[in-house]
Amino acid sequence: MNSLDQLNKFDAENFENWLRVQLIALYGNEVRARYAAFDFRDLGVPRGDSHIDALHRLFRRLSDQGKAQFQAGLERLLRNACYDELSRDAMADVIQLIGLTKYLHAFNAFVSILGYGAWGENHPELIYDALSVLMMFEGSDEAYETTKALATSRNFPDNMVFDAYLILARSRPEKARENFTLLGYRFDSVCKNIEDSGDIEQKKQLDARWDSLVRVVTSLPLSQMVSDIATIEDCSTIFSSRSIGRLYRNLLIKENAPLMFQWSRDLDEGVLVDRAQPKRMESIKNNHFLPVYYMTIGQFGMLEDRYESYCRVNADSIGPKACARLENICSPLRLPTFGAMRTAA
Amino acid sequence: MAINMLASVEQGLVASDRLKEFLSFCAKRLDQEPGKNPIIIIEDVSCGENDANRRFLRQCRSRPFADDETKKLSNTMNSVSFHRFVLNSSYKSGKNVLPVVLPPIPVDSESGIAEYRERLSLITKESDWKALGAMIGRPLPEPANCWITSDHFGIDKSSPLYQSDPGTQARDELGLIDNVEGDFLLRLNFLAKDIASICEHEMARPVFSDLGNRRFRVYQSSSRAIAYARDGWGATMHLGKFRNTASHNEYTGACERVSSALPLESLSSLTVELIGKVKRGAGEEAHDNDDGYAEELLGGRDKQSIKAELLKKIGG
Repeated sequence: MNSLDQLNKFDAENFENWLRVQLIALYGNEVRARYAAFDFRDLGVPRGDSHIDALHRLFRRLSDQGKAQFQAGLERLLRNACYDELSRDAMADVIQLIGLTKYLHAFNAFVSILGYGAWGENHPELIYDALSVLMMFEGSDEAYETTKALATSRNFPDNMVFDAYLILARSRPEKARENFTLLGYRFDSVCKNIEDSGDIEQKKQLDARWDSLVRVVTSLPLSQMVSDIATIEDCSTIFSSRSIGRLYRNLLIKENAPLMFQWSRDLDEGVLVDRAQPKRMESIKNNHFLPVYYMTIGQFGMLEDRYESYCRVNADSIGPKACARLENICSPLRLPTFGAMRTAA
Repeated sequence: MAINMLASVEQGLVASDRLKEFLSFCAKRLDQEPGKNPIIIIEDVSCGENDANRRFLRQCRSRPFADDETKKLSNTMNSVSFHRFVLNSSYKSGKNVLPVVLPPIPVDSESGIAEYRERLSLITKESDWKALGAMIGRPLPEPANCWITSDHFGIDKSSPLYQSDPGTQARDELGLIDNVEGDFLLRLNFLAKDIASICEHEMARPVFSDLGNRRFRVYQSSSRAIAYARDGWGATMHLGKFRNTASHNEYTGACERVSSALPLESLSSLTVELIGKVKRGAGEEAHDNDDGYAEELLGGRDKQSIKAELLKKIGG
């Protein structure tokens, strides 16, 4: 076994080869070789729960230079590992060690090796492992960019899209809508497959994942949500059968949805409110307030009726601004939009 | 180690001729590798790395549990080990339709830890989350021993207070000296009757050859430790009590036994909980580091007299 001094003098290639040899021994058929692999007790490093523990403890004892070379060696091993040389377990170890040693620089290797390579194609569980490491570093540029690239790669399993999206949304809330659109096809695919299967347990799982995703999106800055809603041209998006429609319905429309629209008499403005924390609100300053307002009170039938009489009767409760917007929006040019909305509802 | 060997024989846990046999294997190994650390040789010989391939684990066998025994047992591991070795790769690959991603280490914030608990709960509700063919114990993936504890002796009123630091509390109570600040610990809970059904299962009160860590102690004289011993359990060294110089020489922690590696598929009552983050180091101060512990273990005796007593026991 190499001494600590010797290990501190290793370069990245030395570490790559050293790790490779021991991983092959650890997962090989020879009992004694398995026992001897990653045995650092001579260096005062106990075995711990597993060889992963032992390696992580050894890493902590290396010099700064040794640590840097160890990390680089891990990345080299990840990039160079031949599919028929290392086992799936060995690759899982490498992925986890990249996370434990906080080597964010190696994250983009996940995309080529797992997202497009044989490793990810044949072992989707390694993509789960990579996502789980990325989840540890949510918010970092590296985790964001890698998750985005991995989630749009060829081998990425559709059914991991929920957690991939959560990482993206929490890392870059300002891009939450854009990233949802980017991954929409995966959400659509998962939803369709489960709905087509008719399996009740799977549908329950799907509903639970939507609830969980909605909770996270609800916690993102409301200003971002308001900006996103402002881009909705008409309500066909909301009532679409596609995932974006489901997201908005879960967020805004369904019973006890976490977000709701209200008219703030104090502000004389429409506001988007967090139902669980009513003081958390954001003003809505756009001409599409009215359709949204009507969604919340369910009065779709009013839209094509005589809005003038509605304004006269309800002016006190909805305020002068809403009346002005009502007049603006309910012009003959916009009526087909409201008709489509009522039909969809 | 010598003190633990002596205690194992003095307490009637290991027969002196077994100790003699063990030491003769160790002597042969030392002849073959003169510079080798003796502790490593002892561990290797215990695991069967000797001429006869004989293992010396779990020598002091406990009465097996009855198949209706409802004592609650547990094993503690860190979150990284759970993620890597206990979670089923089939679950991860998405055969479960919508796998819930669990980070190897929780994000260290209140919301991160709450989310980890939620995710762990969702995962362990599924029927196929346990890795096929996996065992729990140390070292993974091929455990030699599985250390278990139980809560049936009740709360230890002499234990220090930990405010809201359950991770450090668990680490200290269990004497897990190798778990450092920053580790997140999980507790795997199961009922004793699950073990009763495992074929060729072995369970024992731990002795010197059971690969205990640097704070392992075969014998403690506190009333709590004696109560454990009456029931066939050893006692951990409570690191918090040892760190606290006002503990008046009473360092008993939790009860402990060693078991052969436990197959996950046999633990039908298994539940998993996140205990928490270890927030404090251990064994770092002068009075509770390895030297301090060795001094405490010697208890005023000198090493030569310990050696002489040991030789006398084995007829040397």
